[in-house]
Amino acid sequence: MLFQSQFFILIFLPLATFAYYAASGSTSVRQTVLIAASLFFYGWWDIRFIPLLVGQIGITWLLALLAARTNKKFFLFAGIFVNLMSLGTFKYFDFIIKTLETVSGVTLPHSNFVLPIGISFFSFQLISYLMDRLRNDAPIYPFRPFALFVMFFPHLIAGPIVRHNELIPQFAVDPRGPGLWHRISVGLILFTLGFAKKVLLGDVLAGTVNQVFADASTRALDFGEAWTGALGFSFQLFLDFSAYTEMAIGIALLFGLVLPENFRRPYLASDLSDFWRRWHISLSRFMRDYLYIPLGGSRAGWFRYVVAAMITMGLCGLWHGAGWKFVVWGLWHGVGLIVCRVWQSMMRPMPGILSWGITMLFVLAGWVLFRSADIGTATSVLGSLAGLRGIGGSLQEIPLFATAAAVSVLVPSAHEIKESVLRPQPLVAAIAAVVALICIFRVGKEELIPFIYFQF
Amino acid sequence: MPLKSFKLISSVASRERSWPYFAFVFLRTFFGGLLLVYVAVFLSDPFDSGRSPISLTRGVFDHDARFSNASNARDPAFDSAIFGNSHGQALEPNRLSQLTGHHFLQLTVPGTGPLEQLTLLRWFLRHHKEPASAVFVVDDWWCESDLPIQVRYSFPFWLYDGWFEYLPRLLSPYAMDRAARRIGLTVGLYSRSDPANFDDYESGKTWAFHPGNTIGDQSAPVTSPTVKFAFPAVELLRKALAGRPALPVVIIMPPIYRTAIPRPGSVWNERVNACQVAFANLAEERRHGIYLDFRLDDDITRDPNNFMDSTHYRSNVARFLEGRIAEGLRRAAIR
Repeated sequence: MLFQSQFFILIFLPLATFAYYAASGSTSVRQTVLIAASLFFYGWWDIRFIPLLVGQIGITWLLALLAARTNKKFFLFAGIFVNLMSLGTFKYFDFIIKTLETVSGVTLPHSNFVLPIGISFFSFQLISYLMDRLRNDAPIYPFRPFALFVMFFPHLIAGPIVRHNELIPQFAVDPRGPGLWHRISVGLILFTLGFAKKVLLGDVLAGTVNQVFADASTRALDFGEAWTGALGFSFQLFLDFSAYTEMAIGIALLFGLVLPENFRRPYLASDLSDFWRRWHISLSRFMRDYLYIPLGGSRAGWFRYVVAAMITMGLCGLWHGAGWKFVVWGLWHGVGLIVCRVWQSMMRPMPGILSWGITMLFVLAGWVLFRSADIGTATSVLGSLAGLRGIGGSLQEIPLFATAAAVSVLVPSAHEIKESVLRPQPLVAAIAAVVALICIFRVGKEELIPFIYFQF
Repeated sequence: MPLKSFKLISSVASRERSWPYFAFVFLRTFFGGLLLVYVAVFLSDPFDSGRSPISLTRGVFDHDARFSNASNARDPAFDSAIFGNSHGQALEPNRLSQLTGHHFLQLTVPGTGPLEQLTLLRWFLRHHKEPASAVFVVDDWWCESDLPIQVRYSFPFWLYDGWFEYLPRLLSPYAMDRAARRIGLTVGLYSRSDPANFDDYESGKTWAFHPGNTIGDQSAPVTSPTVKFAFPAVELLRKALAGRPALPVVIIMPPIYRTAIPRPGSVWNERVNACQVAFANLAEERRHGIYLDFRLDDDITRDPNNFMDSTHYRSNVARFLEGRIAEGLRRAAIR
């Protein structure tokens, strides 16, 4: 079930919200309502995925409990192993087999498993809990709130990646308490903002971008086409993913629950480190806390720093997709972060506009890798972008790109809207409602375009 | 309490009080607007499918036959229809009406296969208790044996289905667009699209068909004579017509340029031959049924001037076919 579908907006969400508030007097009933809604939401895609989700949650919780009762960390490691194995089997098995085939030249059997939607997200949340247990930084929660923490439907499919201690304590709070209408109002506005970004801009960009990258798979692009594709995808990815996040945060607020922020106007970043503090913040935070810092981070000498940065970013790339292009994309950012750090520690600061320009060009080149069908195609597109095939052709869709750029840098982030920007002005509410109305009719066409991050 | 602190508290409290109104305005505007627009679209009967209690003017301003057929097929001015896709589109309903004395309309839709065409047949029969005749222009897509039967291009099945399928689709850009057109048609901003739905795609265009190499199935002859073919689409047509045993029906397989005809003995040729037998049997079973086969290697199919491309005949051939269809209907009527 897609957030932007009419069924979700007009049937599922109102019913789930109504049932939740009808049950709000009892913590356990309230949580049960959300669990039931989340299972229905997840099973809508493919009911076969439910046993995997419930199984991973149940095994993780049981192993954590067992570790606590026996005081043996082995069970926590076993839990991490189980989650990694599940992720590895469903997401990476065929990738490993294909790589082995390429290296050995031998044909091997493939699993051809269907990728359970959201597996990268819920597996990471379960692993983070087990790692926090290893650090004695997490309690044993009752099963119901623990299960809800993982499967709460607004963040289940594509984040934000939430830590247990951010969400589980909120489940105990009566949503009818102070600030109820403020949260609901902000939730409605954030949902509408994401809805409009997805439907009115992201999906429109998708048509142009898909065409350019489909062409890139069959022939060399000219300069104008390459820039059209690269810029178009840069805007599309941000608008699509931030739209999902805003809708997720908005829906959670309707239930009185606060999800962490995920974007902070990343295309205003002044350098690459700043970019990663603004882009997919919940993933960056996860990578920092559970990989980069345990690997030594930046305080154990330059060698350890380089190794930590490259491993962290390489795995960050691999997390996105089972393919070498994603690994190369991650390593590209790893190299960029290292160069950025070296420059900042040894040279004088760059003028802001120059630093911003270099950062955006670097990020844009990375997005070409991210979007292209394979590394060969990406190399070809990057060659065209750099003008190696001349500077023919022209940039297409300029008004659309200008609008997308303006929205990307000018529209405040979900966090800014929630904390400071939004005021209770009825005119704003009415305008937002009309925008939502336009969008709800717009999505009444035959096929909806899923969010890009659903494939991860 | 200092005045400044009091103002601050007062402002926060007043803002807190105004959030319920903010949410109320949003929800009222959204759901109120939704209801208002939805009811307006529903009442306008955007596709003139006869589902609104309010009766606006008859017909639609719509050149997309997938949608306009919902209106045209209900029109009581017609008692006969042509079903098919672009391979039947050149047949002129007015000429058929002149030749037969029936009142024909075109219900062909380019790019459609058996499932879409049968949907239109059922819709036509639902709105005509005593139809005079039906003409089916069938092609290779009717002779496929794979299940499920393919739907190659988007088709609004919901428009020809029940309320449960229809009502949710009114919340869409195309329903809003059609509702605006219906209102425009009613107040005289637009004029009604041809209710007989004839679109002469040859008009105003220059066609130059240059037949290249053979394109039909040229595979080796079938070695096993025991191959049994199934034609699920033919069975569906049989079922769809079963409720109207007295309806005169003409089924034609139109000509295609000879190089597109599969090689004799090839798998596809064997399949089409068996399919033709199945259609002939269906026509034979009916009280007033005729099957006409024009997929032959003859003077028509040997002349490239008779074709726009390898499978679409030109208007001169269409005029010839109309005569043969009219004659077929006369023969069927006296059977």
